[in-house]
Amino acid sequence: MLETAKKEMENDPVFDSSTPLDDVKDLLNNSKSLTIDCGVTKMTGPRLNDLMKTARAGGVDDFTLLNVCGQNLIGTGVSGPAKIDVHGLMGNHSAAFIDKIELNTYPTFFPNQVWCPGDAQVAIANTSNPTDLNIGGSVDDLFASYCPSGTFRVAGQGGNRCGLRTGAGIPHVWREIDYSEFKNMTGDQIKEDLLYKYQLRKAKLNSLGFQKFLLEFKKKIEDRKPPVIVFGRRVRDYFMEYAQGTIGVILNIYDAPSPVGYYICSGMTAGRAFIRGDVSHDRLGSNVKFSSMTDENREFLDKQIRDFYETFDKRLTDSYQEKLDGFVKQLDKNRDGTLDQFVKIVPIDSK
Amino acid sequence: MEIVDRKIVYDRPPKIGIGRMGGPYKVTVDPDKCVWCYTCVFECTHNITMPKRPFGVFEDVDVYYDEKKRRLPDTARQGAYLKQELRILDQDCCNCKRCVAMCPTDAIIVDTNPNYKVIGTPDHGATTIFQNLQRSEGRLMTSSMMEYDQQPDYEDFHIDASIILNPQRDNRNEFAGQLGNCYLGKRSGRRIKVSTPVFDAHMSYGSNSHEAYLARLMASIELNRPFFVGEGYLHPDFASSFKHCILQFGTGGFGPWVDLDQFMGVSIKYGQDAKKGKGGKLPAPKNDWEIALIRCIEPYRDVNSPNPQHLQYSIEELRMRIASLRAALGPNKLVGADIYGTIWNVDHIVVALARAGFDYITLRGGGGGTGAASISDLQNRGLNALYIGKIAHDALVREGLRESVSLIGEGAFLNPKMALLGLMVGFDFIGTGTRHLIPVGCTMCRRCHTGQCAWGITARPYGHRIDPEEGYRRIVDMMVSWKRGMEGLSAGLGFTTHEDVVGSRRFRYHGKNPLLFETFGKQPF
Repeated sequence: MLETAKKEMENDPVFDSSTPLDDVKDLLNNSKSLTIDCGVTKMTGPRLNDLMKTARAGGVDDFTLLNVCGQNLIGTGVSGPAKIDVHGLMGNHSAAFIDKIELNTYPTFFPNQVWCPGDAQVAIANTSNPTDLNIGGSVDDLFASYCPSGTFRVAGQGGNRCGLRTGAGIPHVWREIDYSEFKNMTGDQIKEDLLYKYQLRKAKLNSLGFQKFLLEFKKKIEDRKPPVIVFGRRVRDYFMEYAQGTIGVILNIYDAPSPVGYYICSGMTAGRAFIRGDVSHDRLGSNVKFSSMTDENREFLDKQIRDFYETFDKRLTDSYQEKLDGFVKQLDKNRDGTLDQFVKIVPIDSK
Repeated sequence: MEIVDRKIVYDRPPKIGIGRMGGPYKVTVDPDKCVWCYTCVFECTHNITMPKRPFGVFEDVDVYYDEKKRRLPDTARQGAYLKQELRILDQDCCNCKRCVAMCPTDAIIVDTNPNYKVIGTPDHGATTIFQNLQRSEGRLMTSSMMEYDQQPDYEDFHIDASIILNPQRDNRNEFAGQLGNCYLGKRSGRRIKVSTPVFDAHMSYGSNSHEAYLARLMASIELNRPFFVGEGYLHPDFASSFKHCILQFGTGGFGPWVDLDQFMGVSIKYGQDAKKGKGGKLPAPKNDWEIALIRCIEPYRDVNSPNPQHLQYSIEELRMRIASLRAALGPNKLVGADIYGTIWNVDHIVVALARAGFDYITLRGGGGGTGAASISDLQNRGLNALYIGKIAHDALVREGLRESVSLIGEGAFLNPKMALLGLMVGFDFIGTGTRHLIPVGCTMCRRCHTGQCAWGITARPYGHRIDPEEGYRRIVDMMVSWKRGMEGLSAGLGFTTHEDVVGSRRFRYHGKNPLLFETFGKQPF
């Protein structure tokens, strides 16, 4: 575990599998941060989830989870904004549906000195909207699938169908809804509210006409940010299949001869993927093509690489650090040459 | 300005040979009644064979002349003399009857075109010939709603009339046959009280116009039942009603998926009757800025839903998927499964879903419609909804799971009698889609997929033709009438409440369908 993390945790209350849910608020004693020891296999995923949600309701917004070994449901239903650090292996379907959460995984030593990578299993972070989700290891299939927004970084490799049907970002209108005003509304009041909003819409529609009315929504989606998914090493088949606005990056810092599997970006109708290394035509899925890099693309990649380095610097194994350092040094030394090692894949009808 | 001539001209399709046969419907305008208001020109939106033509079936041609009777340019809007022509090209008519309803003088008659319909042999008739003819023109054979040849067989079912063994009761004057007190979900803490056993089926925002969707949503609130959202998520203007809504997650998974605790629940779509587990496709022109905002995708791009994969389509992932949805929604919300019910192993599937922890399972039987599907899929419409309802109900009873999960049946429940039969085979609730569109104007013209719906139900640009307030009241009245009809039959059978009806099997089938006859005609119940 990183020394800085250890220091931060020193004053945290520590919960484990024996902590009663009813006592969580008392035990927290107004602490904003909490450490939960999962005890390798002692705590189940649902139990951990309940503990985290109860603690979040008690005001905790900074979680450190120790000795995690395959617990699922980590973070799901925990209201954001909050930060979750996971030391160990995150289980299937963890971080699904999370919103406004920063989540990091770290490799760790379990109490019996067995080393555990900071990996994550299947369907991690599906349908989620994290602020940042950084996996200090590798992930299996369906990582970040169906994600409408967020930044996802994986130090290692990805399985099949990572980034499946990811979106183009969340427009701010979805963040501006104040549900508290609807909480106690009766059915009649809801209908009244719906009709009132419809009248506003109709008035605008009548004055603008349908096509100009639609342009009003253009303004509302222009400032949204699409999801960005960055892998340090490589991914297997169907990467970013059916993606609809997402940007994917494969850094291939280990210089693998095949940085991706087959059928990549198949059915993608919007968004783009940048892959470093040799990607032959037969690796591409249907309805996508190679495209040339622009200066804007290079700027984007440069920033993503530096953010990736900052995220995983001195966090993983020595051998990984060596590769990471080497890659960034290469970028510093020959920026354009390094960035030209990427190929760009776009939908076939993109200009 | 003097009007010197007025003519109604019936155009022929600009095709050769067999292509000139025209369309299935014949449009005629009575020249004595027509007042040349051109309402029909404005109201008709259907031009699928010639989409670049700025007119539908009707076209107004006004030709102006100067004082010397010289023809003025087409752009002229004034002159000394005027010749008016109403041209009718009925090859694109789909019998939506919008023109008939809007004509102020009842001058328009739309009828079947005998030259189109009377062709071929009984086994190889107009539908087969013209579908293949359209394929020979390279047309994309997509359609909406049900297939033409589909025959409702509700007349072949008869409910029990054994008044000696089960005295009939009168729901109007005594507490009998009551269906207004039902629960969706059966597990402790996750039961939603609803006031009608008939639901509005999942349909996407975007497949319906804003106005049609709003009418349906408000009706469901008024009827105190959940509103089943399609994969297209919901408009943010509807936020106050989210607590009445059940979202749907299929292979598309569109939407922002934030603030999930505000919703009543989530249905996981494993397949639908007409498209059988395939994802849909939203064509680029329909994916406008507003739809992109709701679905969180790029606008004006084709939107393909992925094929089923192991995020939720594998037996291993089922429990985890449900657990993560429960963790996101909160402990008292519903998680359901929508499955295509014409598979032969429907009993095993239903048992697996119930064991996995779903609160309700929606079974879509053959005969149901859809907004858009290839004609081949519609022709493969599968097994009767009542049959699969029986199979599912029996399997759950056999495994001791019937009291842990609700069953919803969908698929051509065309009237209250069929809906009650659905309850009697074992469904707790019945879902209908098309029937909820009829009060807002649907005439089953089967052009949902074209974006040209003249009534504004499935064409967003024409949505203003619907008054949502009137539409919702009509839907509510229709559903109240359905419920009363079902209650009358239920009381006639001697039942008291919803629980008495579900799975009672108090009917027999005496029609020609061998599967239904074996199941409901002679087998002991």
